[in-house]
Amino acid sequence: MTPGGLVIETHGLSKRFKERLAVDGVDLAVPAGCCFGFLGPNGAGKTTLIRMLLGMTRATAGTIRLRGHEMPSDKTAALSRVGAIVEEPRFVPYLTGRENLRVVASARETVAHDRIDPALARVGLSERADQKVKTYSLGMRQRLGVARCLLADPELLILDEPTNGLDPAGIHEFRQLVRNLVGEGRTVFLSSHLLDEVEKTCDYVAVIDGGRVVQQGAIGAIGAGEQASIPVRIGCDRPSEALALVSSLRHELGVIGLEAVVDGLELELRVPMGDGTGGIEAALATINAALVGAGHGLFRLEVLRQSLEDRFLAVTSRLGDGA
Amino acid sequence: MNWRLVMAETLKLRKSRGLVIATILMTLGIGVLVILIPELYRVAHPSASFAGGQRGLQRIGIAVGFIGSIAAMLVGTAAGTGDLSTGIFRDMVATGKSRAALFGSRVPGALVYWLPLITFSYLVAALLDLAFSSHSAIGPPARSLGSPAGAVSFFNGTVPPMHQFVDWYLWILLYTGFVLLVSIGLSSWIGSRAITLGVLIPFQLFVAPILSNISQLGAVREILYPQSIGYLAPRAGPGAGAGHSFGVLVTSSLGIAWLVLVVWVILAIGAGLWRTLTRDA
Repeated sequence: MTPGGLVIETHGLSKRFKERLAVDGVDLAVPAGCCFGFLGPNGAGKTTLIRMLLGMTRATAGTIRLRGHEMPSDKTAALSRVGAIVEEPRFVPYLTGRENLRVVASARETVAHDRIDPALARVGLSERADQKVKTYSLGMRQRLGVARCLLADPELLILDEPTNGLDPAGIHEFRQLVRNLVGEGRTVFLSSHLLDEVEKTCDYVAVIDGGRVVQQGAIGAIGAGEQASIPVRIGCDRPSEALALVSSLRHELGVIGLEAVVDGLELELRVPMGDGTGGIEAALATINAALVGAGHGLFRLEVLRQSLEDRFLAVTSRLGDGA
Repeated sequence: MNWRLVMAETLKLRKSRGLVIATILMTLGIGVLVILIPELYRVAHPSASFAGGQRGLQRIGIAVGFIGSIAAMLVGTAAGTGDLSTGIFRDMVATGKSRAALFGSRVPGALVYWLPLITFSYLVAALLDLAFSSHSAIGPPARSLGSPAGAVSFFNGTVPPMHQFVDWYLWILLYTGFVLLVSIGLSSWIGSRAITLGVLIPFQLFVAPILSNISQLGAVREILYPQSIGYLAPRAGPGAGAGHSFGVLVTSSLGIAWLVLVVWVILAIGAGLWRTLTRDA
């Protein structure tokens, strides 16, 4: 695979189960070296798509390239450096953690056996490695699942709902681990229905709904249209005078909504997409200068960014409305 | 063949405590019991015949072969469905290893577990048979046998000749090894250990014997593998080869007996391989 290229590429990928189209013509492009969130509600087709990526089930139509190799025709090369947890990690319960890793390492290249101890150490399971997996907590199984992924020295990790069942500390720990893996130049493909998890962990995201990818791109761009509408809260004294002042700048700033509230103003700016935060920053600087210049006491100037949840709901509900 | 994959299969079998206990009881345990019980009886009744000897060896052969074949089903179905039932089949597939290789490792993996176990069990039982045989000169038959031409004379309690030990051992290997392979194939095909056992055990214990007694079925009965297995058993008594130990035997020739076993193995293994290749992980 070319460094900086696409680690996962699908075109028109579909999967039909009898009458039901679980995945519908998905085009996916996952850049190398990032954490890519694959976001969708339960039953949206996330796991089915992952199973196709990993050769666990055949696609009804479409093509898959994994690390530059065609799937499933070149799956040995494609998957040689891919680690995956699909749904909950499963193990042979009466084997120890180490023995479970030995079982999977036996299906990989010989050097995978040498990676068992480092992988266990990395996920903090060295102490419990020789105990049977049936004695492990869910969090420990998740970590053992990651250790199993590391046996491949993976360029790509595919993690399907990896934080299911973890407590907050476990989720935080897991998030750190994912970020560290990305920091090492690996790509993490993180499937989840947990918006908060994706927002805090991922750089890019694709939103899947009803088997179709409805949006994909940088995480900040999800849910944004050609022009983003960004609410801003201004805290200042003499709100009615401030309202008149900002109102006079309406056209220059792109203000589309403006009202005075108890302790200041609430306004909504329309900012062109594609210029990062430059548009909103310039607008805020202008407002700040105007209000301070007019002698207003300014104690708050805050962009009320939409959460990924808001944007996700907007995207998926738009789909529903349009259907 | 990927030897590491084979050893991983064996690891999964030998670390399954329930399977290990059950199979030891059904091989070593049964082999010892069929000698010890008559010997204990003889201790209480000194006039009773020896526990060991040729008759004891036949008892061992039939018991270890028959009960051992059920144990082989347990092992075969565990090997055939273990990855599916624990859910690690998908993880093995996700390594990129070919599904044919994953299936292919089940057969040698199960054999590596099974062969030492059945060999050791038979060895222990055979040594007990020797120990509890009459070491005096070969005496008269315990009863009038009228052995057919070619059949081994069947004396009560006398030390069996070496070739009989070998014959019974090979037959036990054949019987249990055959059932092991068929179990791996069928369970891989069906995908459920319980269902496979629920089909195979009644078939072997009840269905095949009943069908073999329905004369109207004629030569069709030759496809029943217990018939072929019985045909290939060492001849060890009156009427041997005609149903002395295995009910009515309908297999018509040695060639047919082997052909039936080979076809069963090919069909079962083929079905298991095909399903492993096509199954959603």
